Amino acid sequence: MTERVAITGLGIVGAPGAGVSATLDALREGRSGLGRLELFESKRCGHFPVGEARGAVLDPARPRALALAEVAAREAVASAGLANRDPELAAELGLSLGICVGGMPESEVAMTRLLAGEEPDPAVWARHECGATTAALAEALDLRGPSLTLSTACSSGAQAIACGAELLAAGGARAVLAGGTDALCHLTLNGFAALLAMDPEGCRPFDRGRGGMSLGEGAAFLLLEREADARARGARPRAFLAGAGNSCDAHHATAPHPEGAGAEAAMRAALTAAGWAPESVDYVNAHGTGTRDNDLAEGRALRRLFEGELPPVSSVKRCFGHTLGAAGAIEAVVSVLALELGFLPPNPGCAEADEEAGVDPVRECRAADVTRVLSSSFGFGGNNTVLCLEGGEDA
Amino acid sequence: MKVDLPLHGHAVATSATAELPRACELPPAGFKSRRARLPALVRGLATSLLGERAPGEDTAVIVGTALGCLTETAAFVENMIEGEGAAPKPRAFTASVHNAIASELARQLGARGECQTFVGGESSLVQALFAAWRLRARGHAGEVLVGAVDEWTEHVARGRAACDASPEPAEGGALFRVGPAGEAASARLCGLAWGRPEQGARWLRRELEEQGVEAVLVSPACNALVGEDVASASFPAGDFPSAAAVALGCLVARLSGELEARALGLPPDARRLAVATRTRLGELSLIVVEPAA
Repeated sequence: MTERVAITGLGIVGAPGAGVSATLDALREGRSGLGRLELFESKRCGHFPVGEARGAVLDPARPRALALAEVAAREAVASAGLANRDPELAAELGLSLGICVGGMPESEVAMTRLLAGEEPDPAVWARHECGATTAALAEALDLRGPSLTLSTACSSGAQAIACGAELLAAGGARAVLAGGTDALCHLTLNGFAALLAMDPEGCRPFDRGRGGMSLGEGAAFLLLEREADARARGARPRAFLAGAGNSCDAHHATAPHPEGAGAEAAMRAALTAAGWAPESVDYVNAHGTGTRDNDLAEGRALRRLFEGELPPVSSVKRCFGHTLGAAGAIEAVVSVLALELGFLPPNPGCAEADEEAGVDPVRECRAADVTRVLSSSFGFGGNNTVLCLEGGEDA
Repeated sequence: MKVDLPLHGHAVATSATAELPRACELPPAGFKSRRARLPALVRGLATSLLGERAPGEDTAVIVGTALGCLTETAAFVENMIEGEGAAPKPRAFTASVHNAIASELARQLGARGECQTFVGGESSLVQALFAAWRLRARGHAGEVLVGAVDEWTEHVARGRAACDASPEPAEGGALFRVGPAGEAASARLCGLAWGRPEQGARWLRRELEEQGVEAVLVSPACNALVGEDVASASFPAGDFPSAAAVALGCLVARLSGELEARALGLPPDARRLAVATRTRLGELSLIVVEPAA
């Protein structure tokens, strides 16, 4: 990255509630956002706790992933002071969205009707593909610049932020709304259950007794601008995206490389892009899904990167559930809040750290001087993305 | 935006009847293998580009796809809906993830560089090419495999029949190789543009003029937007989400002398060529290529 990318707006919605304020309350209390599945009935998977976005007022006429995205995107744009922008600026506003399931919740209904011999509503087909969410979001917020839609499984949200920064660096947009969204649906619940990857007690990242992940839903966005452009319009950089790293495990369709080789490569690439030494990192927002494979691989990667001397580490997956395409963006927002307000986010669910994973996470939210954060996201197919986030000078 | 990305090779695969150089065979519908159909197709395209050679470990794989492995997604959902009480089979679930196409190719090739998947409908290719260019601009010295693929299934047929007036059964895509610095290129990507302009025709004509495009292949939905100032012809491979990748492959073949311009319906002397697409979602895109220097 040639120029630091300023983050001037934040928006978030998920299990803790809608908005930055509700999210902060949940983080400070170390509150689990997991609960009983109420969104739809699932005979096979209803016993797994999930992170439903119950506190959000969603437009019922919209596909759920789009409705979630719209709530978070509007908050990010407003907090950047761009809600009442000059209409001409619309042509220079880009969008970079990470998403996994797209319109799948609605497509499942359509498929059920199709299998029953009925012809589904054509509008459902038009909304099925992930790009339809991006197009509808761009239209709703009048973003007429280039848009990107990324789907790299659980690293989609982080990768969308990294690619949003590339749009800025290329001069393709004056500002980019970058983040991710995903909604709970039967496909992902049944899919992860079929892989025996979910914990019936709710995810407990890095805990000795962990039994898997918990799904969630939500959306989060950062408003990215070139630092000079932000300052020229009088906007305060709340934090900076200093660098990003991407790698592929090239190992397995679902399991991470057991030694965390790809995760480590992405972390090192991000640090190189930011020009940081590992020891300058104050906090690591871990991917920390709570699956045995992830936690062990991530722990090994972190121990090698930091040569055994880990900075404070935590995973907020129990607060939100694993929100798939939104996770990297949600965790980037959490990381920016940690930088801006000076605290270490907690890792609820970990009672006794697993020595084999080698990560003893932050148990309770506590005040700390945080200036540099590494935020990691790892997805199916070994698609890894790591972001380096740095505090704003006047934060 | 002006870009500079050398293209060192290409391979296309399409169900359309047009005879194209370097065309690979599509795995047939109902294809059964440990591998899903689109990963098998992309593997075939990569083999056509690389032969049996293993690329460098830092090779990047960037794939665009509107719908991903729809066969496997539909199979999993059907299995989930109809499987009375039993858990659905996980293999189709892992293949249903959009990035399964790129990450499976990366796994087979041992490519540990950047791996990205763009899912922006008919704009997926332009987004993937943008990412490949930025990767080069950031100093990536290794190879990059970039392209777009989509498949035709019964579900696409029914979905498109419900949405469009005239669904056309076509599928396939193309993969391009960006080689290491110093290798002679067959063409050069020199311009990219995409967005949701308010006035589509005006935007497209301005972009064509600013980028100095002499002839353009247009998707059916984009046809009416191109004025008479620039020579144009329709996509050679029908209308499906990754048809732009096949069209770009044809232009690269044209620039490297493997395909005559008249086979594409373009003037023989045109050197700066473009692919223009309008997505069903209202986005316009332009990809401009010229002969390698």
